[in-house]
Amino acid sequence: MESLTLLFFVVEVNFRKLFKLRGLFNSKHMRPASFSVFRPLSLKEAVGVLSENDDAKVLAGGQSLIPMMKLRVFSPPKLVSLQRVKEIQPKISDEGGYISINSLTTYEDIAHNGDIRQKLPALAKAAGEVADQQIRNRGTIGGNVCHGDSAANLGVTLLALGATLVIEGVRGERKAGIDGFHTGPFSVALEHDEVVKRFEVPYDNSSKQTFMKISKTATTWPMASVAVNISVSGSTVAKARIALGVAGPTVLRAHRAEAYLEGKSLSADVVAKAAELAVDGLNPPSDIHADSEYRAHLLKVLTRRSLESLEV
Amino acid sequence: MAVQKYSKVEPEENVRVSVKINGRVYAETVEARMLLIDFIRDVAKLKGSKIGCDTTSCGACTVIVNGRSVKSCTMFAFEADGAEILTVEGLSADDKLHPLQEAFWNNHALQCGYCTAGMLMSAYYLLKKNPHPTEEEIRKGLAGNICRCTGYINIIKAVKEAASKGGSA
Ligand SMILES: Cc1cc2nc3c(=O)[nH]c(=O)nc-3n(C[C@H](O)[C@H](O)[C@H](O)COP(=O)(O)OP(=O)(O)OC[C@H]3O[C@@H](n4cnc5c(N)ncnc54)[C@H](O)[C@@H]3O)c2cc1C
Ligand code: FES
Ligand code: FES
Repeated sequence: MESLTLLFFVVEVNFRKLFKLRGLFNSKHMRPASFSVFRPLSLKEAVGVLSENDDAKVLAGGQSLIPMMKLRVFSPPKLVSLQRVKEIQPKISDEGGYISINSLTTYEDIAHNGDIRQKLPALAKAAGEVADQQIRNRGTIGGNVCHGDSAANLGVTLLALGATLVIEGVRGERKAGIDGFHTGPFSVALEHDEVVKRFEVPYDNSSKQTFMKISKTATTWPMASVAVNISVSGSTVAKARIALGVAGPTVLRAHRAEAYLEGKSLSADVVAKAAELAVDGLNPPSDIHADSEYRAHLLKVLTRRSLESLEV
Repeated sequence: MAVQKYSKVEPEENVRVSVKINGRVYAETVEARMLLIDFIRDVAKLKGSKIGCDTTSCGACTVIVNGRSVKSCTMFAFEADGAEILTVEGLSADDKLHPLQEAFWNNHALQCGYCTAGMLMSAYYLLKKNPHPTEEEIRKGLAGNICRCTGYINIIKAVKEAASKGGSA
């Protein structure tokens, strides 16, 4: 398990570098190595296949996995396609207090869903701003979170929204909060036989929320992103959750800024101080798009703008 | 969509893929690793859809699968089994250009033409979903398509013209 995630981390990071240096790399391969595919019809079959095949990898929307396989930075000999698994087909339903979203639901489905736009506007915005139209038509909420990228739009937003993951494995179903699900760069707290089935995302009427990102072009990965979720009581903040993307090895919460905001009203001074606290002591990664210092600056600006945009 | 039943899930290295492209059925057993763009170009021999970047960035390979625009360089052929696909070859009917194609022609919306098939399919999807887009919505709708000749202004003009003439048909 550990060595697999480490391997995954190494190849993924290389992939990101290659991807970002597009045009500079000189790969011989643009077609994946041979593999065989399992096409289970139920979750039971899917987790059964995974438990019997240590070298099998789950395929959802394929918008991260297929590019990596084409560059052969990652060549799983076996794929388990979730496409036909009946329990996780695209579905969004309001369960009263939370919205349930099946793991194969695409960004496009989420961005245009009426319940989500009304009750979880940050999630609708984050999904509508993933890459481009074609990628939004294929990529899934399950893949976005399980890929474990610290830049993932939905990964960041679901952390701010305090989502719960419903996970199926050979030992049955379990639930896990999203806090702690991201364990390191491109690694998440899933056993090899486990598949994320659906997400339960809580909402409440007093919540004010948004997602913001800064990218070089509309369709490239964010240089920085922020999701904020504030519950208000009267004119003061009752509870705050702030999540930062591309701020460290995983998506991160800005715990000190959150604690500072509680009990305060969102005046310009309070917002500015919270933005300072959000990046205090942070050490974001450096790459060709942004160095660490610039990224910290972007995160601070995004935190301030997000909080300013809330109509409290 | 025809869903096959498996009594026991077995790994498949070769997969029977049957798809309907522009109204015609193409069925072939292909390697699991075959990409949809290769199925379209090399099995169905429809050469309109192009491979530009092969890294999910340029949109030259865009086709419509079950009503949704996708980058066919980033989807396996087996994932399209049972699907209905529309490619650029399916846009015109009865020897008449599609209104979008007419508008691209009228507005000089192509230079080398390499991005054109993908641009047309993204514009087709956009107008299906949103028959009267604003300029901002057109720009957003085409954001996944790169024109290396940088003829974006005329492409946007063409989409506007097609929309004004009810070009989602
Ligand atoms: C050019 C480009 C730009 C992009 N820009 C952005 C961006 O700005 N923001 C953003 O958020 N994303 C971006 N993406 C990534 C995109 O969002 C992917 O869709 C996402 O990272 C993976 O989701 P997927 O459904 O495509 O999963 P896949 O690629 O199929 O899988 C990704 C990983 O998750 C695992 N997995 C998938 N589903 C499950 C499940 N249910 N249970 C357990 N494991 C699972 C897979 O095994 C694999 O390891 C971009 C991609 C490209 C190609
Ligand atoms: S060839 Fe598919 S996106 Fe460029
Ligand atoms: S016309 Fe040449 S790439 Fe667009």
